[in-house]
Amino acid sequence: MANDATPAETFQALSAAAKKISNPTREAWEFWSTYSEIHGTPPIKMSVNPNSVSWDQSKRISTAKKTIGGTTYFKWSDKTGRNLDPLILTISGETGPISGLGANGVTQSKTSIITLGGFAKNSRSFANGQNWAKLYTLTTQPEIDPVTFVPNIWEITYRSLLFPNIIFNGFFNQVLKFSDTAASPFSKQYSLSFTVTAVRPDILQLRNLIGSANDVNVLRGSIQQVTAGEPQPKVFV
Amino acid sequence: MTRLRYNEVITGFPSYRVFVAGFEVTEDCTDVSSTWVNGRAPSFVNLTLLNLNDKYVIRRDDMVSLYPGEIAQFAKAVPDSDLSKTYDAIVNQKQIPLNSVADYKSTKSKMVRYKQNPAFSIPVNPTNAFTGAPQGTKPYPIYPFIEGKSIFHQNDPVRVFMQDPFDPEVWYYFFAGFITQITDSVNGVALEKTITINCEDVSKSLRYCRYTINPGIRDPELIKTGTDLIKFSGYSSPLVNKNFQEAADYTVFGDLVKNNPPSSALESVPVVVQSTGARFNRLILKSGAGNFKPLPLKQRCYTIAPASNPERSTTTLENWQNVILNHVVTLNDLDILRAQSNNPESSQTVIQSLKAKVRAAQNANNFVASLTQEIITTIGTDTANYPVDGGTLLMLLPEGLGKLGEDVVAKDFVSSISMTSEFKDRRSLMYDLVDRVEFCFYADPKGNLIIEFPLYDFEPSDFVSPNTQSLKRGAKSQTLDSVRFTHTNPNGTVVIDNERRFTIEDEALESFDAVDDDAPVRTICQCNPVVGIGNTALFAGQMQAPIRNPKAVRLDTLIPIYGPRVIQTDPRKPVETAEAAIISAALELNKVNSESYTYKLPILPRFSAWLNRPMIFRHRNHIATTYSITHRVSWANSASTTIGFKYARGWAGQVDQAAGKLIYVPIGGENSRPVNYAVLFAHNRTANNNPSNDTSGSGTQSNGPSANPRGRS
Repeated sequence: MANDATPAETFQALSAAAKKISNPTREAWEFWSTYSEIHGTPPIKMSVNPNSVSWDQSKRISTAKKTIGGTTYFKWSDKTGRNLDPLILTISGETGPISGLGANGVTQSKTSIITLGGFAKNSRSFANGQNWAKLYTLTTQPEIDPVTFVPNIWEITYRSLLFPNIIFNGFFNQVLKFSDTAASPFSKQYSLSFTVTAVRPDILQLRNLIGSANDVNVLRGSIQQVTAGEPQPKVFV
Repeated sequence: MTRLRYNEVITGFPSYRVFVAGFEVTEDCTDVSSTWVNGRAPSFVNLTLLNLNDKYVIRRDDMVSLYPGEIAQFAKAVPDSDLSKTYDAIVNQKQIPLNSVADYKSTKSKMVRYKQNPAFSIPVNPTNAFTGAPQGTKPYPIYPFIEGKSIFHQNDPVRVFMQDPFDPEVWYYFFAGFITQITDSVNGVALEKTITINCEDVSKSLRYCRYTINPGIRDPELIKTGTDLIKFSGYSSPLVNKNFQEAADYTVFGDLVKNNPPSSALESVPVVVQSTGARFNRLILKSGAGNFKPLPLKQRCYTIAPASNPERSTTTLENWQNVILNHVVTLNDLDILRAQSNNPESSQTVIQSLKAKVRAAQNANNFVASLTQEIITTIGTDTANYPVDGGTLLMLLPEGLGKLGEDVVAKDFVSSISMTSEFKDRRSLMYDLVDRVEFCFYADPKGNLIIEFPLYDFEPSDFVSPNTQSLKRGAKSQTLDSVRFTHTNPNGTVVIDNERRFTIEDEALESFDAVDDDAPVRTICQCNPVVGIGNTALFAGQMQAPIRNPKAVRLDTLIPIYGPRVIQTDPRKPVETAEAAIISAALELNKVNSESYTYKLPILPRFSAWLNRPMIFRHRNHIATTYSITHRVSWANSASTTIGFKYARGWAGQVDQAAGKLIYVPIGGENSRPVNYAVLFAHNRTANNNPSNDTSGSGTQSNGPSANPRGRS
């Protein structure tokens, strides 16, 4: 930082550096789908990422079968010998002010939650409302395109401190869940439940990478390197 | 580690592999269930396949790939139709949907293209039914594909393999047969799509082959086909004057061959190896059923000699079970199950290379369990070299059937000769044959046909030779010892301890219901000898047959409880002599009384269970014989086996001091079973009858006869 910088410039530079260090995963999550791709709809970007993601992956073990002389568990393993069920991500967060109305009379907010690639119309809350609708619509898309018969595969680009950049393919197992309450008329609590059918890079590869880098950007680079060598998810086979 | 007797915790690892028409569909198969029954019915298997996105059904877009020429013309003529839009999306925009025929990597595409091979078409020359004019010869596909219908077809071959849940290195043949019914289901609520496939075992090949004797003079050329077996004689059964083994062979292999069939007895059937596309001709018997191989008699017909001359037996029960009927997947199966063909060496490279790989591993004492998977893949997918009905007819017979063979099997009624042809399928013929002597006929999961004499008088220990050591419960099987009875040698050979295999411990037993029923019990059986072809006066113009005295067997020890309940033998049995009548009556009593004390035991999955086998039920200390076996595996949910038992025996306080064993007697009373095969043949361990030799035809035979161990077989 140069000594002759104005206080404002210094503050800006320090803020940028602090942001980079303290919140290196500031890159937005993205939601997309095959159906969106076919119909030319760009990915939905989150300007504030979800505040909670829970990973839930059970193992295929049958309920204990009781025999007269004991108890038997059946473990159902696949070709690899593992018996893992699909991973289910429960993603939840809270929106900023959103409105289904135009700009007039609606309180402006500096903390919009969802934007469509930074696109804003008359007001932030109106744009947020539009993006909200798009996210909602994304979770209601058809499973199979009725004309081309192409099955819809959803995609989430997931970014956090633990997993800086991984892509999940799968499907929403329920429509966007939210509550519209009088106590909080503008922001909405929401949650998404997503069944993962494929992930890039492979979680086991990721496990090896974690801890191999001191800097998150280096780790992100390693992950991108691994991912680059992998084929894209097969939508059109 | 100390383990509580009644608190055993067992871990099982069920798994299976399913092949339909030579294609593996395991990943979509969620439910496998099978039923074996010892009776006049084949075994079945039911498969449930997930049909996500119509993976196994022909869709509109598939029709575009199947018939592009005609649809292209249509799309040009009517561009705005839905069909034209689909054509445009696939052909012009290259938008190939998942699980499409257009996607060459999909199972659907591979199967459709395999079945479209020109080898699977027949030339037809239809004529107009009104004018009689020929409509031109053209090849017609055996496997038509229709929008909205499954890509599977009736009689597609099916093989299922099952992993031993408690010894995962061991894989069993679980089923071999053909598709009988296909159900395409869509759940209206969840929009789940499934295909359910019902299959029948390889004896179905016999059902599709008929025989006729003395074809009617009016219609033979109109309704007979190339697979019919036709015989001209004065009898109504083709089995007349044949002994049991000859009659059974005739039913399966026809009348053209004995051993080593000459080329004139064979015909070629074009087949295609689906993995390589190699095409060649499989050789089958012209008058035989299916692809069953007429191996030399010594390799497929085994006998148990009388107890007085055990050294004359050509096999032991252990050898019969563990070697001849062995249904553990092994390397030898690649040779044993391969069909006879003019297959060039080049199309066998996969088989040869796999054999070399397994042998190398065996020689190095480094058997790799994964090679078992390759063997399964080869046998499951190569339906050209390994047809599901490519086994043979295996028989376990008493060395001599005595009067059973001479008078029951080889005789026949006389019936009038019909003016029109009467056909009968060969499976019914086989059931008739074994019913005459109360034997068992069934198909095994490998693709063989099996005939056995009843083994309900034996014990599990009879299936273990004295020189075979029972498995020791080593550290490896410490937590599995109640349900595990296999041991894999380092070279990959699986050893099965039959004594434990045929024992049901409490740890494996889910529940039980034993039923002691009064209703089926009979105490007297009457058999009326009839006039056979040998001395009938029919041809002499006399319709009145000579009167014969009826014969009966009476079970005196049961009469105080049950009273004199009389049953008559099946009048279809052509029993002529007094001796044969008594044997028939005794067998009939054995059969009906076996149903008085029965039980069905749901147990942990036991894929090594077998029909017509004695098993010990520890909880009640009974020995009974299996007559039905049902397995069910629902993926990621449950796995179980339910076995139905008849011919139950229990301990009535007697001990065989010499052998140091308990003596089990039929439930219902000692001497309630008038024929005891264990006494008659080779194994004299459960003597509980002293059959009288009084067969003088005095009218009533008390407490049963003795089957003459020497007969024409």
